[in-house]
Amino acid sequence: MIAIATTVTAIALGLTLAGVVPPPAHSQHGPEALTRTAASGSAAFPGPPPALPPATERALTAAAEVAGLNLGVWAFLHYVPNEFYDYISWETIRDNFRDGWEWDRSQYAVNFYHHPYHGYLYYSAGRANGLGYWGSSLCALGGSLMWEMTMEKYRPSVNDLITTSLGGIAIGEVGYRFSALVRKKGARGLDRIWREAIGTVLDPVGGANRLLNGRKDNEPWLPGSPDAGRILEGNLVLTGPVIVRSADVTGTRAAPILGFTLRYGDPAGSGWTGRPFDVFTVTGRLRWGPDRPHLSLSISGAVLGKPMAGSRGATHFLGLYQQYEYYGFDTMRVCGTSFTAGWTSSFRPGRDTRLTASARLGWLGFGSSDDFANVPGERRNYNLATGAAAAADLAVAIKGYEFFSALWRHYTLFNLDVTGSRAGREHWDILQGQVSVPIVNRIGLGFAAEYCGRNYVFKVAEPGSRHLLEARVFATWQF
Amino acid sequence: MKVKTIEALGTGLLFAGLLAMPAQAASGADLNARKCVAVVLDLGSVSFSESGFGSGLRYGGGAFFRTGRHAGVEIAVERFDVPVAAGTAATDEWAAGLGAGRMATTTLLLNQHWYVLSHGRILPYALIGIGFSFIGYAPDAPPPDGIERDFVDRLALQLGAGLDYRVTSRLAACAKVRGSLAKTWVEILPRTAPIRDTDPLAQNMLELYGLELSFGLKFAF
Repeated sequence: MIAIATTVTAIALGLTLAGVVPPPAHSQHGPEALTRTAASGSAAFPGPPPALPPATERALTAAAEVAGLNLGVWAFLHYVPNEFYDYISWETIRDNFRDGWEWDRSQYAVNFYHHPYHGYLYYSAGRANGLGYWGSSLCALGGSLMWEMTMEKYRPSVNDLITTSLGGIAIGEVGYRFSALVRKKGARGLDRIWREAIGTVLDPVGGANRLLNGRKDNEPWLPGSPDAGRILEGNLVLTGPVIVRSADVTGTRAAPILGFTLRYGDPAGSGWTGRPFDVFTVTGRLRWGPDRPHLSLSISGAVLGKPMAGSRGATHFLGLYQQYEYYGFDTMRVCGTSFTAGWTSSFRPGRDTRLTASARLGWLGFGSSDDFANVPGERRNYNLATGAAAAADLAVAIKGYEFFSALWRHYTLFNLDVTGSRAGREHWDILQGQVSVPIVNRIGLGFAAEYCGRNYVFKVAEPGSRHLLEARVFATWQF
Repeated sequence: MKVKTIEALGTGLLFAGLLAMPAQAASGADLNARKCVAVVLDLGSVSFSESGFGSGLRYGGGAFFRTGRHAGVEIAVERFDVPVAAGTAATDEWAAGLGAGRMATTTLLLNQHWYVLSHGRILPYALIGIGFSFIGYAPDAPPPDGIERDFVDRLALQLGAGLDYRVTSRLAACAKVRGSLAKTWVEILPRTAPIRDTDPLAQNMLELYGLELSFGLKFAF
């Protein structure tokens, strides 16, 4: 349900933001505008206005709201669904402190998809009270720590702490940034209602605070609603039936895939003001099958960076990125939270042409893999790992329309020797490529291909591999 | 006259006396809500909807922090003692149930108060919070089967509402009604494994939803 809700929210967000974006003449927004503006020496979106006071930081209120969130979630779980693990007392808390940490073996999607949403609420509490990225990150960590130590009868879980905190930070900052684009100072009536409603979905605690404490605008330095068209671009994709695919890909060939890409800021760094997530990309898709809809979600945001101007309008950005990725293709799953260093360059080979290339390499702090082929029902045995992550992207846009894009993701996992995880090593490679042409305005048709390969060597089993390939036609709307 | 009746009467008289006190010191700006720390003492009664549990006297005290014009946090300890009827918590497998005795509970409370008004003599509020309940059982006579039993301690949601009547700018009389929603069960002592290893859903769950009515005093520094 959360997967569907996320996709619907993302698509609604895309439509919403696209709705507030000025007409796509690309004289005002999009890569051309960003590059052109950068080349002329000014920022692509507003920097921090020095005359405006900084947001008031209410750290104690944030901490109280984080604790309140935990107690609220506990009360719901204890009294409504009557969850057995939420029968807690002073004794369970004492035992948790005494017995220490363990590895949680909840369902894969629960551990790596639901938990980050919990962390997202903690992070939102920090942001809603004027804290920045780092302060709000402490809220995510503190909230998760409180939950693990006190709010369940289970022993505290290392993996839950990591995924809740780091996943929550990534999702939370993205949600907060988008909420600022949706909310609009001076909005009245119905315009305000829908903006506040969507803003609350994106920034839940901030929305609740605004409702309870009166309307307060976001931090003044954040790009807001009037800047949406200049800072955000993306696309929505609806694929058609499968054209060709590997024999062992299961599930229907006819079911469509819904996907989206949202790029906030210029990946090549123009407009970077030095604040974490001034530049980020969110991609996601909802894919049916084989057993139910599955969501893939990837967030990559620059935490630190340095933009550089190149020759002939080129811009470059060296950055340290935080990623949260959850990828699924058929029954194959790989996910993790990573920190990478890399660069993005934007070149202008022609007057209306923009070529963007990027590469990153870094540490996959904590990840997991699974392939539940031929395993019906609930699955709690999957690999937990640390390792390395690498990524490369290439895109070509002409007159603001992206005709070609390709990406490569690589994960090397060193699997932990813990309960339910097969110790060993595995390599994942994901390749996606697509070409499309505009048909009407910014609506286009195209062809997309995807490859997912996994090679593994486990201590307790023979080496093996699985490789999947699928190609589809698709319709896209770029904005 | 029973002790309980005397105590209840005393509480009522005290509260009535406070209401009747001249409030010359509390007027105008003095009645604005301001951040402060206060000591709270209260006394009242508790009763349960779960069959087999009687009603009794409760008393408590703690600190109250007025954190904003409409908000405050109370950290308090309360204690009550109620009779337990013979046969309480009986199951098909354990038909005898508990022997007659008493249940004494001490609870560490952390409650958030939301005040409707931020100015005036009468300040109504709603409260929500948690309570770490340490629940003890003392049978009147040794159990016939020789097995010692007790209730399992629990964290319980607290919901309620109250009223502060500000006698002076520092002193207020308080009335409060609160529900304490503890879900627990009877266990055999001594426990042989950590409580986390017990499946609560497999137990004969007792919904000790207590309704507490109390009156007290709040003195701000």
